[in-house]
Amino acid sequence: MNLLRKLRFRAQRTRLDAQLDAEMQQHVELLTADLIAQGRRPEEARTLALRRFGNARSLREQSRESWGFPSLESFIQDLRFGLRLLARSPGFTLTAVLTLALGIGANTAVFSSVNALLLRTLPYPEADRLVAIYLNYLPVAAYERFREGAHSLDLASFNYVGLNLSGNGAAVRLSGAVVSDNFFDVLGIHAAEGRTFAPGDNSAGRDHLAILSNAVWKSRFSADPAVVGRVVSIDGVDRQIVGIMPAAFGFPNREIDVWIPLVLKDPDLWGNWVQMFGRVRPGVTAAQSRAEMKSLMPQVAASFPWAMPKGWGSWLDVVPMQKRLVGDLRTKLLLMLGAVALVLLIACSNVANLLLARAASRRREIAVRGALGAARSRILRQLITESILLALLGALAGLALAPAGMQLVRRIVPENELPVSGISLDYRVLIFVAAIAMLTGILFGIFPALRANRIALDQALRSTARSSSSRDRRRLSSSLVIIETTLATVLAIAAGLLVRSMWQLSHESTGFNPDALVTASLTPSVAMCPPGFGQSRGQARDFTSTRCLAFYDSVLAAVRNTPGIESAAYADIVPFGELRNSVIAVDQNPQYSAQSPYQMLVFNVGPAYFRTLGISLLAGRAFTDQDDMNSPGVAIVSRVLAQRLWPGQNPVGKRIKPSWMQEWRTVVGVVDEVRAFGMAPAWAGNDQPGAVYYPARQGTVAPPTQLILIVRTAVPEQISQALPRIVGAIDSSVPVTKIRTMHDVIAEHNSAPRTITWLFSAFSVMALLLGAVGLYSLISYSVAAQTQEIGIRMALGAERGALLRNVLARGLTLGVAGVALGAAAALALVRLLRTLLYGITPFDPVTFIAVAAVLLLVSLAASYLPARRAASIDPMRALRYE
Amino acid sequence: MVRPASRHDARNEMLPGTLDMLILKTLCLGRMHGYGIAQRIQQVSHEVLQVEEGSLYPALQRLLLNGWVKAEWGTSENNRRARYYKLTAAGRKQLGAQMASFNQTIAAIFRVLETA
Repeated sequence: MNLLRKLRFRAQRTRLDAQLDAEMQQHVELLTADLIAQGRRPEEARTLALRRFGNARSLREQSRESWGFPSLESFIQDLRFGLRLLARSPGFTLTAVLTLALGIGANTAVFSSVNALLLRTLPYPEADRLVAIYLNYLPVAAYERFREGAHSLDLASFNYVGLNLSGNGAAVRLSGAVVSDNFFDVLGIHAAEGRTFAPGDNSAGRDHLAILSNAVWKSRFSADPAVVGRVVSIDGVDRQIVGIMPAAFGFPNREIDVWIPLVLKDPDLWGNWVQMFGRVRPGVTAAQSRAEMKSLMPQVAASFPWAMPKGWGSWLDVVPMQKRLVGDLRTKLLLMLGAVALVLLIACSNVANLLLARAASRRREIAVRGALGAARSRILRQLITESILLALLGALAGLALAPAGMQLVRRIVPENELPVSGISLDYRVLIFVAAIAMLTGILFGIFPALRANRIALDQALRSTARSSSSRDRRRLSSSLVIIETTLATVLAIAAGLLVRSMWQLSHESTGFNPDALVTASLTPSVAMCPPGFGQSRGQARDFTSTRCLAFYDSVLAAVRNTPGIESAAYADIVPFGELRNSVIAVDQNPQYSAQSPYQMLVFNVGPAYFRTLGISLLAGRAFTDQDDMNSPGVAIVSRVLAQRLWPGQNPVGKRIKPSWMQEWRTVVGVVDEVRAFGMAPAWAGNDQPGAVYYPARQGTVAPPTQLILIVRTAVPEQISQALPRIVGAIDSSVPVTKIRTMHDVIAEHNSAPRTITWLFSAFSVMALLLGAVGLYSLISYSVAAQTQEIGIRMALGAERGALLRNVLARGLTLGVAGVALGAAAALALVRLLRTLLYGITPFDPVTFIAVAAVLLLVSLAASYLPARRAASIDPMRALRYE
Repeated sequence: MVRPASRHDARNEMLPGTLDMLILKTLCLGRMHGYGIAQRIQQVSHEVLQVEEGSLYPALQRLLLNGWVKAEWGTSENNRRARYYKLTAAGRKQLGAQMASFNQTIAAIFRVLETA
């Protein structure tokens, strides 16, 4: 319609209103006059005229609608009325808003991480062309073969490295990435200051460069732009800073402080291992690229100077980068989203129940409004507006709760290990919240509103009309309570399974004694402990570099002399840290030859390692100080490895060797299996491969510049404080980091599954409480509604005990129905949890039975109070009720 | 709505938009107040069509808003102030258009009835 004219009419609203009134009054008078002329009596004529004219008010409203904005106006009216109404019953409003806030807040928190990880695209130009390559690590030389052979995509590579930055204050440990010269070009990212690496920066002599992260630039160099071009000492090497990255950049993850070039230098080509990623050429799909990479595989595998295990690289896959980064988080996030959706549904049915109860007391109000000429659709609209208003208030309160929830979710999502920034409330999250608020408002509002509106006017106006419609209401409420119990059961079973699995995880023996253990990382510079790799022991320079070895030995000696220390040892890797796989050939065992080696965990450990960790020696001997470069090569195998390689035989005296080395090593001992990780990593599967231990002084391939000191002590706090001082006295340039007790290490390792368990438990407790409140209010209401009936039955001699049982049975029936439905639904759904469970099946009967019992007990408890109230009704008072 | 006076079938309503056209046609005779319009339609149709007040006033507001009629206050036959409606030029044009399309519809209905 003509909007301008409409607005003009609207401006003269008061005048037009008055005119319309006068005109309609005139009409009635003329009609009355005519009727009188036809011979009616005056009063009769007037009544007749009025009746024919109909409801003047609604007529006026309809007439006005043609020049007003009826929907907007009535919406504002409804909104105002709704607010007034909510303010008038603060108890109801508070309960409903809080219930909804819990549901919406939990959804917001989980959705914000889904948004950050699954919906947002990666912050790189044409990010859809970036691909990750599933091959784990491979030697630089092998990567170069792929890079030269692949035409469907540009490959780049990186590896993580710890680096010491000295000068400008005390030495600090930085997280570094060693990256190929095209690393930044493949990502398509430029430096904020200076430049990124250019082709040729990977050639020896030209590689003494570094690029800093924004964070380090700020914290260490006070954001001074002049730092570009300056030379700093990184790990004992002078490097020129050529660029500063933008704050938002963090690849391969957001913890990286410094990027240095990967240098292509002969002795390191097979010793330095890297990870690949790439950018497919325009128009090429990941699948085409995968086919090409796979076709290169045999040629690359054949170029290794030692034999790789059979089938190595058969799992090679090229997948979109985003998919790879999110990985198994996807399942966890979607499961959590499912859980919070259930919580929200329960919250909705609870609020719906509250509204139903309230509708009963508002019936007369609604009926009066209907009688005064309000259209049904108008009343419906008003009731829905009220519930949406309620939902929006809930959403606002939910948004206030969300940051706390997001804090918890962050513990599951290792934000810093991902190249994406932040779980935050962006516009998409806000739209999501607004949408679920509207949706929940309609969802919990529609049934009570439809019902309130359906009640016949005459019946409602007579106050005694109660029985039939209240039975109807009870049926609806009962269904809602059953739905709530069903959903709560599903959640509680999921939580129960996770709790059981967590218990299993933290109570299963680790194979060593984690009490009173302190671990710390020693990280000398590359200059002091150069990384090394060789085909014979003489060429392996890692632990065997004299300066490096001397340093470690003096540290160990100093630590052992410190009062309060029972024993101390070092190793390149400890349980619940970063683990490493290696391959061995077995003497006189054609199944595991150098050409098809056996793969398992590998640890390079110092002399007192087994004693310090409390790993029991099952056969043979432990390593001694005499197992060094000049003595024959030895190894110790774990129980599982011994069973795999020599079932039923004595492993002591057998010979194995790292598959790329020449010299055999004799097995001198067998130790108990150590469970070195929490949830099994994907590669381990269900059958553990076992572990092999080499003496640190006869090291194989080892990275280099990190050694972990393990100390058993009765006074962990004192020792933790003393360690940096002890090490500093020997060489102040070596940072001592990650000083933690073993219990803390394990706790942190299990933090993600524990947080998920915790969240699911919290969700199910919420669900359980909401369900219990729903059941309680339903039973209370029905007891109150039956006060008279109960009174009569008592007057007629009914026993109080029977009445009590009667009411309890009613509550329990609903509970049983909900629990049965919930258990059935859970049977269909729990398989989704499989990857999150440790040591139990998703169909664990103990959990199912325990959860069912708890829910039935809660149902009983929720109906007990109203049942007691029913049993204590005084018949005399009840009969006089109303 | 304009509906036939016989109330046997209350749902037997006329085609939508018909009332607007009837009002416009009635106003061709000159200015008239609301009550007069209703009376006139009733008389001319020999009491077959009764105009309900519930439809008349919303329809008049609609016509005013579209600029097809103008309203002015005057004195009625019984010396009372009354609001008179007058057809505008735009209203006359609209009437022509509506009648043309109405005639087409009627003719179409007849054709259906004759062949059926």
